[in-house]
Amino acid sequence: MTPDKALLSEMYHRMRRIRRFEETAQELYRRGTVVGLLHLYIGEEAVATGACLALRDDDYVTSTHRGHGHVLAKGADANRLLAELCGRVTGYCHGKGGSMHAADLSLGILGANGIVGGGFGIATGAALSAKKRRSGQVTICFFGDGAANQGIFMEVLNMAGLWQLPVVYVCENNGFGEYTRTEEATVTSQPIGARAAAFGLPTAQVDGNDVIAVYEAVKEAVDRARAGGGPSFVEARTYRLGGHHMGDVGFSRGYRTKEELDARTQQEPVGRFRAWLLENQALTEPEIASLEAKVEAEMAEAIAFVNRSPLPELSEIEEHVYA
Amino acid sequence: MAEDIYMPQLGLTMTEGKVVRWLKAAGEPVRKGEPVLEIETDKVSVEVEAPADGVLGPILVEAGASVPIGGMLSHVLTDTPLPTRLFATPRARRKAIELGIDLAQVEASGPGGRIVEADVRYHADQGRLQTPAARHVEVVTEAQPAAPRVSPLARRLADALGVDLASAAGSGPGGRVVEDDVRRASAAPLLPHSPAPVPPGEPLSGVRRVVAERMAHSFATAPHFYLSVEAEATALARMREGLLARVEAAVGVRLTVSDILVKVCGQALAEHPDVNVAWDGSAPGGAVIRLAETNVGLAVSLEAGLVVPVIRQADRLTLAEIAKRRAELVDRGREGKLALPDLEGGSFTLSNLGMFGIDQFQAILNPPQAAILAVGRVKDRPVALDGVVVVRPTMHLTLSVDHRLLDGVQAARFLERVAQLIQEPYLLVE
Amino acid sequence: MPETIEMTLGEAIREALAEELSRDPTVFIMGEDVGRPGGVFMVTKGLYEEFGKDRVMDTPIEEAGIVGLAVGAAMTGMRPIVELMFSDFLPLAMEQLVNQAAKMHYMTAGQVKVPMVLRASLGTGRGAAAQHSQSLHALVAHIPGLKVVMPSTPYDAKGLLKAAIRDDNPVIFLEHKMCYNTVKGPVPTQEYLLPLGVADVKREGQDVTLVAISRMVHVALAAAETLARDGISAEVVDPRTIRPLDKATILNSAMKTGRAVVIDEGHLSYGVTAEIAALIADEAFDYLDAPVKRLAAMDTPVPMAPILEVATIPNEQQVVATVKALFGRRY
Repeated sequence: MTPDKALLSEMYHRMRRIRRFEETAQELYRRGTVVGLLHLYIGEEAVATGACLALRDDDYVTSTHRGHGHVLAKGADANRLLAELCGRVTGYCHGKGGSMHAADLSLGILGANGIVGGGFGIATGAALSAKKRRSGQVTICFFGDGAANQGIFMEVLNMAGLWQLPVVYVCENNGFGEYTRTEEATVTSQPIGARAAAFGLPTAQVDGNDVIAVYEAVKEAVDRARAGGGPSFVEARTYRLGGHHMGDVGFSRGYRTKEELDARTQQEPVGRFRAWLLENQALTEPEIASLEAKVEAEMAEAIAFVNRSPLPELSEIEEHVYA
Repeated sequence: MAEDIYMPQLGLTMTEGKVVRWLKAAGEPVRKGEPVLEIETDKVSVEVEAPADGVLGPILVEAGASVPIGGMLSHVLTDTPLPTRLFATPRARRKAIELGIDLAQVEASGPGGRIVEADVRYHADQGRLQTPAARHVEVVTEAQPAAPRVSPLARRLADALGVDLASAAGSGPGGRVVEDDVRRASAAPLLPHSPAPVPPGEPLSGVRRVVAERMAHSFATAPHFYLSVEAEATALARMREGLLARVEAAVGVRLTVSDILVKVCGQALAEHPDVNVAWDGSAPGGAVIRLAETNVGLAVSLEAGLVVPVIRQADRLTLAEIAKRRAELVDRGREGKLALPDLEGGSFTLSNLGMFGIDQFQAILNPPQAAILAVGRVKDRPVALDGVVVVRPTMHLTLSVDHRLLDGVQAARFLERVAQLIQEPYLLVE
Repeated sequence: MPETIEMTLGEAIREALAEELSRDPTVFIMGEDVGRPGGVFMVTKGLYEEFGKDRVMDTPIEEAGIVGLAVGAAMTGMRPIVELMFSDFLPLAMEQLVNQAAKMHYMTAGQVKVPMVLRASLGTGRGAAAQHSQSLHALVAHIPGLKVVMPSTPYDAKGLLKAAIRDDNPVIFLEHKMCYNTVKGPVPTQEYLLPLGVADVKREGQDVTLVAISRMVHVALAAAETLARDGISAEVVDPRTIRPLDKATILNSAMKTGRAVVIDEGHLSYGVTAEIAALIADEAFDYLDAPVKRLAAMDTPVPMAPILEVATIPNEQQVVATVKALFGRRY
């Protein structure tokens, strides 16, 4: 069933917002304003957007090192996120976490994570906590195809299934684990979901560049969890348009070709959805332009916010080591 | 390997020593413990022994030359590599400074051949002559416990320059007072200005030199005040006459007025423990050391200079014992054989210039003591008695006092008692 | 009601767990065999029956996963107490402890807390061989953001565990496996807490400071008795919390006595004894009358045969001999 206009509008807004944020971050990184490591989500916007729109505000998400998409899709503030990337004290983590550890607990964002698979335990534990507290909260654990090979993935699938925890494991299969193609890192050509199915979890596989498909698949899983039906697994197949990180080796090491990248760029989700909206008269051009303008204004304000944000004091170093 | 022979530190105020003569030549074999050279310090001549079996290396400092403490004099070439520095634990070093002990004198008993704190305390106690009831020196400090420390070099320099360490702001690590701080705090210019050319003087050496340094330091740092009293000496002279023969028979020594005065001072000190104290300039703000024994030093003029041998526990010795001891010490002094125990530990000094016809004089304090008594000659002088002028033999007693340690009243009471004991010497038997 | 009751280390720990489970509904226990079986060392015996399987959870054998779940639960409002049978299993969970639990509060600039406790047994004496006899507290004491507690007596264990459970930080609570049933002591019947980060002087003395950890506290106390007969008065300082360390108590003791021996069952090299000895040598330097000595487990894996195993850790005779060698003249 096609989502209503309000939802479609919100879908486009969020995807566009993520895209423009990432492009802004990329530009600022080249200028040296964004510091540290940067892993861009460009090309995968539909996954975060579709999945997070299936959640309540108080639901939890754990994210990855490529986490801006999830964090923004869950409702994070662009100012504070950009400031965090730029190491300013006004950032979400006072500049101490950076891109890979951005978090907003008030929105249930349990943090991006610098360890591949670092979110598995936390997400499953959050689900355990929600079940014990009978809060009805559901947790989405975002992770990549590379993380699916981590041993702890098997461990949490087992416990989530054993205790019927309210968690949805959303695997973003973007074709690469760093500089290695997915098919070269995994012996089996069976879908990743087969592993979850082995532990008894219901699984689904969707086109990760189709935001509506993602939304529907994840919503089904989330509703199931919230109703006490236990954990689920959703694989969203997408493609990482950017490099693994800023400073990626690019084409020089031969892990992908320009031809492949160009072809995939044609299928990128944001433009694709824009076209779909217009084609199906779900939104008009002016309505779309208005959303885009809103996003531009938000990005401009984020840049201005960063420019007027101070760096952290040295005293910040010893803060928060212990609670 | 080579074992160094270096100028040792003997005594806290020593900053350098002079090589008197070499007993061995370069290239000669030496045994550990064998004397290799003679050096002269502020008070005494001392032999330096070879630190190991081996062959003496080249002579680095010729006879007649002076070097600072720690300066290399020679070395002994040995087969075995042995450490050349003085191993003492940090705690032992602190204790040594606190008690004014030279670590080079302390016998090490600790593991690894280290000097441990117990060794220092043991040495401090052995430093007192063998008396059954040797008591510990009680150190009473008025300083704050968390006081900034002073580097050993700074301390020596402060002593030599007469700088009160309390006035030197510490700029070293942990707020330590270091050499530069002492130099900065030193008020006295280090070099004299002499606009007119003067012929070069003969450098002071040995005892003379150290007397000069000590007196300058004492006079510059201790605030002196003086009390005078004229005591009638009739009874004193009569007592001496009466005892002469007996003392001569007992110890073969002629009893002098000074001997009796030593006893008098000893007694008075025992009765006035607030005078039997010493100044500890090492603690910031200064501290009072309450001395356990009344050891009276007697100023003796030798050819080499002034020395002050100490008669220990003067209050407890008989006059005969005092006379004998005094004679021994003076003889040793004349032969240049005074040892450190003879000269250290004094709590008070007596200086008698009466035999040179001096009526009265003010002596400079013998640091770190609180007081010194200057005695003039016994002479017939007019005195008032029952409203009439009569002639009696009297002597002038002048007490110089360190005002940091004593006030006028305390000093006066002490001097009053001294005068009383002189005028009524039978009180010594009370 | 008597003021104190005599109980074993294991019983004291169980009491602490039971009291905190009763007091705070967010507290729960998870671990392998902790529930219905009552724990491999019987520490959690009876708790499953009293509190139910939701509060005392038996888990699969997945140390990384279990600890990871504890982190997530602690981040979202619960106070999990994870039991890892043996501290030797810490390496299995190191990623969760080191990169997640220890750092979440810091990386989020205080937005999240991780109020979890991880309990494990450690130490030799059971012939349990190299992979079940280690004392790996140095590994976790090294990580900023973690706290490490190692009680030696039932009194300390109960008070410290309660405090650890109520602490808002991840606390690793290590218990010596050979002390569970053999170390007995009085425990107050009234409720009490002991603060983390505060050492305890178990025996006062003047001549030498023995800093001892966990079971080595009892070895040090025995040595102190022997030394006393030879006229050496030893002070035994039990840090109780390894991180954060009560530096002041340790230093004051060393400055008083001038001699220190640090005794621990971790390996000698790159461990907790090195940290404490360096502290004393640095900050009590001017008061030392002897070098600071360390007695610890040999730098080898733990061998199984009891005759070999016992020789790898410090014993009373070694402590006595080490102490005596620190003295020169006794004056």
